[in-house]
Amino acid sequence: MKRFTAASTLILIALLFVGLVIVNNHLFDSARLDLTEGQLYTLSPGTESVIENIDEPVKLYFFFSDTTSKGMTGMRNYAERVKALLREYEKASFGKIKLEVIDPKPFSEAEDDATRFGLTAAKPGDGKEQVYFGLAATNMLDDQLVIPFFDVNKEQFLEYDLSKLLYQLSHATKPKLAMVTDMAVDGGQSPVTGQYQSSMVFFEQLEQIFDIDVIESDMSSLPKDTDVIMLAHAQSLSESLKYDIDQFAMQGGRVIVFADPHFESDMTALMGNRGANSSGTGLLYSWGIDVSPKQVLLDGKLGLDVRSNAGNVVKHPGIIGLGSEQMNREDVITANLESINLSSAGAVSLLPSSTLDMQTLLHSSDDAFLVDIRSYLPTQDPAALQLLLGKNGKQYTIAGYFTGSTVSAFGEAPPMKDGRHFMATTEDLNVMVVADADMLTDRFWVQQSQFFGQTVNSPFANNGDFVSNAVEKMAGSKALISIRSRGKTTRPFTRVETLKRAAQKRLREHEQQLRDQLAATEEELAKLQSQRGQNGALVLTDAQRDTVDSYTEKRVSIRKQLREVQYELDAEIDTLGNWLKFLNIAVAPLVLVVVLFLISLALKLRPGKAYTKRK
Amino acid sequence: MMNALFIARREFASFFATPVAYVFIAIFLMMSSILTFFVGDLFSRGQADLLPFFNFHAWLYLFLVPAIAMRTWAEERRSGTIELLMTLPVTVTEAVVGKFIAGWAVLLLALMLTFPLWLTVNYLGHPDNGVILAAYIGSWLMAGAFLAISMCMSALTRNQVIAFVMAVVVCFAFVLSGSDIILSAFSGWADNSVLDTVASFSFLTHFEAMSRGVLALNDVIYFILVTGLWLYASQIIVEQNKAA
Repeated sequence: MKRFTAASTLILIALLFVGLVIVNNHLFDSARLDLTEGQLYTLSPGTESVIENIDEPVKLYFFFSDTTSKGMTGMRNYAERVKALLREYEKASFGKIKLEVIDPKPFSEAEDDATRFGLTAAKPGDGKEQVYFGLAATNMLDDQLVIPFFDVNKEQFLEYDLSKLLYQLSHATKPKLAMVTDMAVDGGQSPVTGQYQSSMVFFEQLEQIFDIDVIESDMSSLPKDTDVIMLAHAQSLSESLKYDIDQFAMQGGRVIVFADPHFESDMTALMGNRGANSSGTGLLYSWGIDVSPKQVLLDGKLGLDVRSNAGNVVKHPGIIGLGSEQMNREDVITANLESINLSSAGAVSLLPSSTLDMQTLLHSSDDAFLVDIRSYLPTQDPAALQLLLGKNGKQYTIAGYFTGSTVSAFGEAPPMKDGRHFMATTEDLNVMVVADADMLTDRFWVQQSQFFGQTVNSPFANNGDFVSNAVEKMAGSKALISIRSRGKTTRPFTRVETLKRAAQKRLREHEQQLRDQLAATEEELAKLQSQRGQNGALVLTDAQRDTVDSYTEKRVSIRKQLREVQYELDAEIDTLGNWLKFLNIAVAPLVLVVVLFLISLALKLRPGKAYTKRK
Repeated sequence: MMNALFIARREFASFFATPVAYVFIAIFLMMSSILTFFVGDLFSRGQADLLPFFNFHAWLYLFLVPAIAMRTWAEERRSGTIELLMTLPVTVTEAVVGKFIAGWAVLLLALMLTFPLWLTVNYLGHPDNGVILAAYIGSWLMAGAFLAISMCMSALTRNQVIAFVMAVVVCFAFVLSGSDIILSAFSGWADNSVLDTVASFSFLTHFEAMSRGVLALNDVIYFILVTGLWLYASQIIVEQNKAA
């Protein structure tokens, strides 16, 4: 009987176990401790709010070629991270997001799906099969968005990219951008030459992603339902438009301003008036942002080469090229850009009385100066501009992102406006200011050429990417903007890399010498072997034949030495690896066990001791 | 519960009175390093983490934990010392818990002695030590589950070899239920929620998340559940044997 009770209790325990495991899976799903350094698997509040605002169920298809990516450790680690993060999204969505993980094996239906979604296949080479590593997202309305390939170099923005995808999927209409400008952004007839011009390239790029309304600065109001306002060299705004923009910003609307102390690319303005052609900055000033309207930034280090009047190439300190060191690598707008060209830019800063916060996006080198525009304009010769540079330069912010609380530029609504919704202050200003407008013009960043009747744009700087990244970021929801960049999962062996670099440096010279010798030898050989007699046959004297033989031998020996150099390169790393293996597999276990034995002897660890001690 | 601690201390010391613990620890350290370097390719993959090390833990425990646990009860029954143990003023629960704590402490010691590998990756690069800590905690929890199962199997028989084989078989089932082999057998006809449930019984599924640096409550509870219920089962079995 007792045996029976015991058996039935055990069966009950088994059933209890199954039940508890299932309950455990569903009940304690959310509590977790993320011990990773950059909190890699914890969704930020911004993402949570994006997920919360999804209305239609979303299906995510994560394609990763698990089978064909064997051995690509870096990529596989990253794929694991992406997959884990996607699972977090699925978990946080309470059923609104369904994730499907697909391994598109070669010639499978899944591979066709991947192609149909428009994913990019990477070809690792060496006759290996291609690898898919992308994401497709669809909703009930058959809208479809993809990340064609997850780039390891963009890992810190993985969460931002995924959230953006979800955000765009649930906001299917293009965001509305109101572009207030005095430039001929959308082309038209030039008042100077009378020729038709095509629209500016940055504008064409923006048009693909946004629904743009172009507004001249003397128009009286903004279109309804504007998502983002961009002021691109707007010179003097009408009072009514200025009020609209001010109130848009006061209500937390996002504004991007390109304000230039001297917009030199506008021919018409320059013809009528030899003075500075500066953008209007009144609004910014009243919000507490200073854009140096009467000063131009000269940079002693970053000047680009231009041809002077005398015909020689000189550096122009007013036409500057920013590199990645002058960009904020933590912000999604500038993190992956390489170069941005500017001309007669200004500097942005906070007014002393300002209550805003400024985050720098672009800055000058530490050898920059602000000079009065009146001394800059008459100086045509770049060499003479060099003289305007002082002794001790400093670093200036050229583009910044301003947030926080400020007051309206207006004390009350102007008479022609309905003042019922007037806001005199805001806690939540979102304004991005770039102190240059020339950067928008084609000649500073894109080369146009004709190819079979088609205009082909080849960018030589990232100005266009900068503008579209900025508008894209600003058009996203506030939640999306708040998602910060994260840490990385790839952690290479730094010591091995240092070793490799040192060895390469040491051996490169030797290798070069050998290669030179080899080239010389091969040339000699070729020369000898091409000597032909009158009948076309190869005619060699004995002496020549000897020389050929000796050269052939020399070639063989040089090649052998080259291989040895190559081998030496890896030898040091292999030695390190072998030592570490030996230490970990043989030495450490033996030493540790012996130490353990000695400790137990010292402690006189005996089973009986516990009982004797008890008394 | 003081009694359980006394038993734990006594059992722990008895591991070190014979070569059992030393042999176990030496084999564990050597095998884990060999698997890490030669099968997991720690060095040539060039990433400063301990994934290749932790990936093999379930498979190492599968054979090593039953080996140290097989004598727990089987030996006591064979030599008759179990009668002696039961005449002492300790309850069966205390004896079960005490023996478990002793074994678990040996496993903790073995895990801690793998620190040279941790030093190695810190020497080679800059690993995420938070991830490594989480993986160690996860591995120790998983070792506890293996141990509880193996001890229960040892209570079932007086033959150590049979105890070992049964423990390996049962543990294997727990490891395997999350592997592709088993899941693909289900994937033909069952839908995803069934698959997930089957996979959620596997040690691998729960350990995998921890080895990436995330200690989720349900993974921790899972291992505590497995350990607790198998220990409870051991207690019933020992109790039953005592009565018989």
